[in-house]
Amino acid sequence: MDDGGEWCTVKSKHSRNESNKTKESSNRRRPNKSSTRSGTSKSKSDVRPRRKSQAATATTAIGTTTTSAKKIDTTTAATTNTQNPYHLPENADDSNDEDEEDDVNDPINDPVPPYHTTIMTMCPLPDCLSDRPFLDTTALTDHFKTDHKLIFKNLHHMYMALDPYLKRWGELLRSKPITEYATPDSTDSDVYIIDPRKCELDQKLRTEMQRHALDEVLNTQQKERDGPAKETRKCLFCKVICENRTALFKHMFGEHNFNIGLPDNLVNVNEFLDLLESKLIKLQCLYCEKTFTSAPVLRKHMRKKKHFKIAAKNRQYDKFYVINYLEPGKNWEHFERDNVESDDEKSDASNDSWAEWDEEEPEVSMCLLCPETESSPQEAWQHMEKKHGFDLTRIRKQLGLDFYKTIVLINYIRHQSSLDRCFVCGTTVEDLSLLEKHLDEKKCLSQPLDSNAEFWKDPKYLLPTYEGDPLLTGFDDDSDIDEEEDEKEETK
Amino acid sequence: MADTAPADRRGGFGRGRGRGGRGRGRGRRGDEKTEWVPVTKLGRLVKAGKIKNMEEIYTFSLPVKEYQIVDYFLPSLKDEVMKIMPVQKQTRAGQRTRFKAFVVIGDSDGHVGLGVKCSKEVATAIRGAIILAKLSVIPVRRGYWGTALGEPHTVPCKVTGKCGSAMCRLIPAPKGTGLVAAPTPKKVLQLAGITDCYTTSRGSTRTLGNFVKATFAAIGNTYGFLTPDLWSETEFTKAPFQEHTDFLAVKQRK
Repeated sequence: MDDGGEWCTVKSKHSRNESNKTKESSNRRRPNKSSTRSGTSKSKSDVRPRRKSQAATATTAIGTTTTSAKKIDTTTAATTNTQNPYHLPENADDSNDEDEEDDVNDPINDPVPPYHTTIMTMCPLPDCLSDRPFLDTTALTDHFKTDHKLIFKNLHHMYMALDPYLKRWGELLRSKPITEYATPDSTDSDVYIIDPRKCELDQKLRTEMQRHALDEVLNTQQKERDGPAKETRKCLFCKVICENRTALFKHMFGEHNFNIGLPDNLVNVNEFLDLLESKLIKLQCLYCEKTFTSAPVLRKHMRKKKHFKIAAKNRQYDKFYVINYLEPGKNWEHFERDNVESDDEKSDASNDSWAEWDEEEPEVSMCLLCPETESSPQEAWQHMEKKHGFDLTRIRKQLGLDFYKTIVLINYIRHQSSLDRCFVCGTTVEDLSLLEKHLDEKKCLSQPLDSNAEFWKDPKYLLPTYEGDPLLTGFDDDSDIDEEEDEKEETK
Repeated sequence: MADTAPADRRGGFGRGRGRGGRGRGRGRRGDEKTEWVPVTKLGRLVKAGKIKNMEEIYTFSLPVKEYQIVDYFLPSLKDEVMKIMPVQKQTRAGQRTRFKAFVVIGDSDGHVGLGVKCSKEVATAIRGAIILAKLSVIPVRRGYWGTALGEPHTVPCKVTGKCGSAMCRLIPAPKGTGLVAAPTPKKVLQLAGITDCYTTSRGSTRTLGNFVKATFAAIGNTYGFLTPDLWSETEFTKAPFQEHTDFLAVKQRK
């Protein structure tokens, strides 16, 4: 998102005015303070040249108009703070800095339209005149209402999967007129409402999109658990480098009392931490969202007010928490209220059932005799039977092969095929794809294999030729089991 | 730079995104190392050091109800989350979705366990599943393929395990074979400490849950198979509860 971490574009102008008001009012009330400040800075000028320059630019900023103050403010920020204020080299005591106003409202507490959050999406509906992307949800809903005469009921339920949802609706509305799906609004008959309770297609669409988003998020989380979670990262508030993500969270909680939840409940954690770090770099407090003039001021503020938390009301963070994807319309606040599990939930038998894990794991297996691949070993055997006439069960019965001998055979064939050789007669062909033709011509497969050949006893064929060869696990080992059952019956 | 606030526990959890909060596990440093107060008889014996190792518990088939017992004997257990999946239940108030975590735990040296837990939050589900996995830890018997050289590296004999309609068979393999198995059961075998093994499967291996359980059952059967070297007469020893009955009779101070 381009807005660079400001939690909503509506607010940005507002907050800048606030912070400038702060500066100006403090200036009016305490003119002595600024002079004492410059006094102290001058006395310490030899020791701390950087602080002097900071103080000097700040004092000039206070005296000038709002707009130029803004400009100087940002340049100060740009020159001295391109990195995390907590990672700057140690400065001595910063208690001489100006106090902030306590009676001004925190930007985070300013009222905001319901379910307002930042997004970046283009309007996908047909005949849309706006060509710029929309940066927040209120603007988007207003645009739908005024320009397209359309209201989506409870659109905030779908903020987690907004893009695909709107795209689908765009396609649907292109194909059929709007009256097929929507009902006119009771108050304003010009405007149509798409309601999931009334329109079944909408309901189906929503659940499908929701499910899809949830699965994607869980997959991302699983990948993260295996990879990025094991990487090292520097703490946001000090210079300690933590060896993996769990250690990082533990450290931030233990040392700085900074709690954003357990890493297992988060997704896209690197993005999240980068976002928080960018806020710190912009000298914005994470909790109350006020912007400050310099790094020591920010540090002092966060330490004094104990603002080592993130703003719970800021919906920009919602997408990093997995629980928000769980059910449409219910975000973490809903679940927090609902924290008592009912009895029938706990004693639910399916709670411990492994059978619910119903997933097909694709094991891509290559045919023994040609370069074709199938998605599972069973299919590969079927392919070999149909296309090459290679029936493993028949060969096993014919030669009386037990499990180990079958393994040897498969590895031997693999080995020969990798050298582009026919495993029966030993003739070399130019390419594996030509092996098929050779087998057809010479009818090698109908000849019985030599049971006394050298390779049966070669121990290297007990080791798999290809690592992770699914064909070795995927052949039907009926024979041994049938033998055991027959024996049992005989002994009865 | 020490920005530590003297955090009072409620302040740490109540405000902010206390997702891991509400005391469910994300305690302060001190809380994590809270003393374990055993509740079961076995727990008390273990805490007092009356039981030497996990194998004593297995010999007498004593059920383990406290996961700290397993932590005490097997501190090097590594856990791996195999899958998190959302499951739904129809209630009067609509659908209720929760996360189900499947976890396998093992020390790659003869002990392995499986656990599954369902919960609203992913972290809670994973934590619960790890605890259940620890409670289900089972010993794995390993043997040799040919000559008894070096350390045991494969299953001692052909063993099979079944769960639902999925059946898994483990077959001894020579050193250097590695684990010839589907990716998911392979993780279980790795954490069990089996280095070389062939596997075959039957039935609906699509239900990965049942397939993994079948592999686990097969691994468990390694100690259930009577081989000639176990023919010698066992000398029976007293069960721990009987042996330490005096210790257990002393009422614990609350």
